[in-house]
This record gives sequence, structure tokens and C-alpha cells, in this order.
Amino acid sequence: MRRVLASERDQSAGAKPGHRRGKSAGALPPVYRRRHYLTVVAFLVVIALIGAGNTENMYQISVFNNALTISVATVGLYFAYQLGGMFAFSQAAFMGIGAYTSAILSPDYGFVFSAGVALIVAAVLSYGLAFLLRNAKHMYFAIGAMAFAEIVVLVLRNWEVTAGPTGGGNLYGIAPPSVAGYEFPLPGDIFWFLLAVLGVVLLLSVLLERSPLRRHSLAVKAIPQVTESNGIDPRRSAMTLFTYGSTLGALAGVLQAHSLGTIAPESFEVGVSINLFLMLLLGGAGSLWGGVAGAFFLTWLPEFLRPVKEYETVVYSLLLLAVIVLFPNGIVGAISWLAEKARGWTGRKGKAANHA
Amino acid sequence: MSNFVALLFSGLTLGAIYTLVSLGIVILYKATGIVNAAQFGLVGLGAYIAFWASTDAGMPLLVSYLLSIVVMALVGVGLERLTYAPLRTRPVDSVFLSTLAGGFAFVGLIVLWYDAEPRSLRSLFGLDTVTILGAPVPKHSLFVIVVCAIAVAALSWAFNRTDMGRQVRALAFDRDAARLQGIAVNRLSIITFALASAMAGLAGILLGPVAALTPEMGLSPMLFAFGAAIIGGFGRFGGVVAGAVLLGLAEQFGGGYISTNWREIFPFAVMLLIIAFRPEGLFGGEASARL
Repeated sequence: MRRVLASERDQSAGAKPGHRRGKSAGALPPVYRRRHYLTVVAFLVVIALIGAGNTENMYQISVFNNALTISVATVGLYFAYQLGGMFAFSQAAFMGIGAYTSAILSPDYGFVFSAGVALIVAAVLSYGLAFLLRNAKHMYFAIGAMAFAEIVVLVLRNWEVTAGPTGGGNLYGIAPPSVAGYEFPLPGDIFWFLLAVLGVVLLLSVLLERSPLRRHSLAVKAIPQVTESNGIDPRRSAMTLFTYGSTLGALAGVLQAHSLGTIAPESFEVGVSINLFLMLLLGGAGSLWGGVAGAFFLTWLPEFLRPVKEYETVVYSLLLLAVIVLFPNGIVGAISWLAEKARGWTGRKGKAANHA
Repeated sequence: MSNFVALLFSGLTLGAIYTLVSLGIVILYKATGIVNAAQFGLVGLGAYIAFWASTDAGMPLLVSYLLSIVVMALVGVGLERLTYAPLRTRPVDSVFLSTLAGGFAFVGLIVLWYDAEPRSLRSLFGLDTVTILGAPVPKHSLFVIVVCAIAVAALSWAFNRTDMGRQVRALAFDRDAARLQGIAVNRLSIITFALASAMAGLAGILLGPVAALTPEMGLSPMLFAFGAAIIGGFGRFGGVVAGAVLLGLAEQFGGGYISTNWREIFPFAVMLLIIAFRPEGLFGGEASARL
């Protein structure tokens, strides 16, 4: 009896009646519409236009590059956490796996091959982790993923291959990305490369959003027993989504390593994963765009906070707290709520006109 | 032999500290049904308050320890109001993330208050050691083990013998039925939050002389405390204590006999394997179905 009531609480909680919490972080993301492709294109064009004016400004463009890189990781987190329901506190660790694999291989094998190997390594490891923890639910998975992430950071810091004993795991002088003989040496060039990669990732992700996988995972979230009795294995969709999300994390790591040219184990600690969660929740976990919005917002926030740099952690965490408590839908949720309001307002106006 | 004894005692010391953090998590889970991820911030804050009181405010060491514990209990009340009370009807996941954010807020406050530089907290016993079986064992280690044993005894007395303990047990056993019987859930959650955060503060104070004081000093103790709670199945205190000691010993013996640099890998690996293969804990538990 207790369990039934407890699970009822858990499910009804997301869809609580009331204002914008009706579609809270716990509720289902909006139904797919064709507009998604247009949104991807519009987003890329807008970022390209803003970025094009800044390619000469090394500092500005590196902030852009950072935001683009992190977006890849948060989009991955959206799939692992929001759709897959896995508390992927290992996201930064997979970024590290991608970054180090690619950085170590690229001097001998070139960028494309080593990036490919990095993604495969991360995919295999993340599937292995998901398989190992397949019986662990929610908190247990979260704690297991944190333990995995700590292990990864310890390995990066101590292994000979990652220059652990000699350099504390810091790698320098990683070559900038180059594809088919075309190099991207300066941050201004890397910007276009990153934008293209993010575009591909977003298109792939939109395809995945249209696929049965997403429908399955939504069904698993809403009515687990019924879904299972209809022959959909809830674990399988979750594991696939976690693997996809973690591989995107590794891709972000690859991009970060090759666009910054230097990596350190500190950039892949559990705290960084928590920051990625903050971005996703701040942007709005209910949509693919939440991750992108949050990544861009939180990469720029420190620029505004620079005069009060030491307040950063406090501001971040209180912001996250405020978002969880007040705006479970994040920035994207707030925007679509406003859009709906506006539509409702114009609709009412139209109706009033009809009456008159 | 002396190496073994030294490692044994340092493992037990860490185990005792993890026990305190872990029992805070377990008690809170029993009373409210949530997993509190703010413990790491509380561990750090407790240590820094004691550091401030004993150095900048110039109070005697024991007084500053006690002051820190009292302040931490109040901080726990604030934490409950801020991160748990508004989310009472939300899924457990949201509360996990909100307490995590709360924990990071404490880390940020510590950075503002002092800075990120490592500091060291004095022990009541300084650097004195006693020789046990040929091994020098710091008196502080014995002190930690004794304090922790007293805390566990007091806690299990309160949990099994007092009215409030009975109410918490009723909540853990059957939440809905207990609420229907009119148990004051609000009051209990405030009290247990205060208790859990006082325990985390105490853990921070005891950890201070063993490890350096940094704002994020509580992060791996909290992860090990989660591990201990899982090993104990979020259930009996004995299982949680055994889990915490197991992880502490794994860290010290692994570090002592295999490799110092890889020290922390051993308890994390133990945790990962237990979550993978015995998610219900080693001693039979009740939580894995609900969390």
C-alpha cells in the first residue's frame, strides 16, 4: 500500500495542477513538431551572425567556443537525464575520457581518427557503466555514477599514459582540429568548426527526438508497467540514451581538448558534472534546447560577474536552487510560457474582434 | 605489524568520520524519504566554523567545537526551510538536486568567508601519539573513534527508545500510515535536518586535523557516506557503521599495501561493485525499492 501511494506522489508531483508548473521538469517534454529543424537552422544562423562579428576578438570568440563545446555536453545530458532518466553525474568524466583519448592519440593518428576512437571508447565505457548499474535506480545510479567519475579523475591524475606521475595529468600543446587536410588553427577558425559540429549534433538529436526511442522512453516514464507489458524493455531505452548522451559528452571533451590545446583532470571532476546539470536545469530540462540555452547563459554569466568573481559559486548554487524551486521549466520553459501567454492574449483579442 | 596497526587505526578513524556523515543521511532518509546531498557542504562549514572560532575568535578549542556543532544545527534548520520545505510534494530527484545546490552554496560561502587555500584545524590532542603494538597511533584517532562510538550509541538509543525515535521509525516503515496517525512530519523533518547537519559538522571538525581544510573537503567523505548507507541498505545502524568502516579500511589498506596515489580508488571501486551487484546492501535493506 505504501509503495503505491509513494509512487503516486512521485508521478502526480510533476503534473501538479496550477500555473506553469503544469509542465514542470518532471512532466513530459512537448510533442515533436517540424519546427525543430527550422529552429536548428535559425539557431545556427543567429550564432553564426553574432559570432562572425567577433572572430577577430580572441577573448570574445573563445567564450563563444566554450559555450558551443559545453552545449554539446548539455545536449547529451538532456538525453541521458531527461529522456533516459539516468542521473549522469559521470558526464564530465566522459568528457575527460574523450579529451584524453583524443589528445593522446592525435599526434600519431591525426584529429579525425583519434576523435573517432575517443567516441568509441566513451561509448563502450558508458554502455559498460550503464550495464553494470542496470539494476540501480535513481539515487543509486547517481551515487554509482559519481563513484565512477571519481575513479576516472583519479586515473587521469595518476596513470603514466596521461602524464599522471610526471605532470599531474596536465597535457599541453594539443593540436587544433583539422579535417581532411583543412586546419583550424585560430580560435576564430575553430568557432566555425565547432558551430558545424554542434549543428550536426543538433540535427542528429532532432532525428533521435523523432525516433521510437524517445516515444518509448516517454512511455516508460509515464506508465512503466504498461510499457513493459507491451514489449518495450525500459532498461534498454535508458541504456541506449545514456550511451548516446555520454558519447556526446566525450565529443564535447574532444572539442574542448583540441580548441583549448591544454587539459587538466580538474576540468572533469564531479563538480563540473553538477555544473552541467545546473546548465540543463537552468535552461529547462524539458527540451533539447534547454541544454543549449543554459550552456550559453552560464558561459556568459561569469563575464557579467567578473567584478565580483568570488561570488560565483554562491550565485550559481542559489540560482540553481531558485530554478528548481520556482521555475522547474528553466529559461526555455519560461520563454514558451510567455509565448503561450502572448498567443492566448492575441487569441482572445481576435475573439473579441469577432464578437464585435 | 606496526604498519598494519597504523593503517588499521587510520582506517578506523576515517570509517568513524564517514559513519557520522552517513548516519546523518540515513536518519534523514528515514524521517523524510529524501537523500540529502548537502552533507558535503555541511562537513566543510562545520570545520571552518570551528577553525574561525579557535583562531580568529580566539576561543578555547573545545568551546569552538561545541559552538560549531550548535551553529550547524541551526544551519540545518535553514537548509530544511530552503531546500526541502518548498519541494515537499516534488519527486525525490528534485530534492536531491536542490540539496546538492544547497551544499554548493555552503562551499561558495566558505570561499567568500575565507578563500580556497588549504588550512589546518588543531586537534584537542595536538600531534600526541600513543604506542599500540609498536605502532605510533595519534591520540586524535582514538578520540575520533570514541566520539563516534558515543554518537552512534546515543543515536541508536534515541532512535529505539524515545518517542521521537519511534515516530521516525514509523515514518520509515510506512510513511502514509504514519502521517494518517498524526505524526508531526514538519517538525520531525526540521529536527532531523538539524541533527543530520550537526553530525556532518562534527564529522568536519573531526576530519579537520586529519585532512586539510578546503571548501570542498566534504565531497569524498559524502560520497563514501552514500556508499556506506547503500552497503547498510539505508537500514540498520550496524550495517551503516560496518559499511563506513569497510570503506575507510579499504582506503587505508589499499593505499598502504598497494599504492598511495591510488588510495581513494579502492573505496570507490568497492562502492561501484556493491551498487552493481548488491544494490540492496550487504546486510539486507529496505530502501532500494523506493529510491
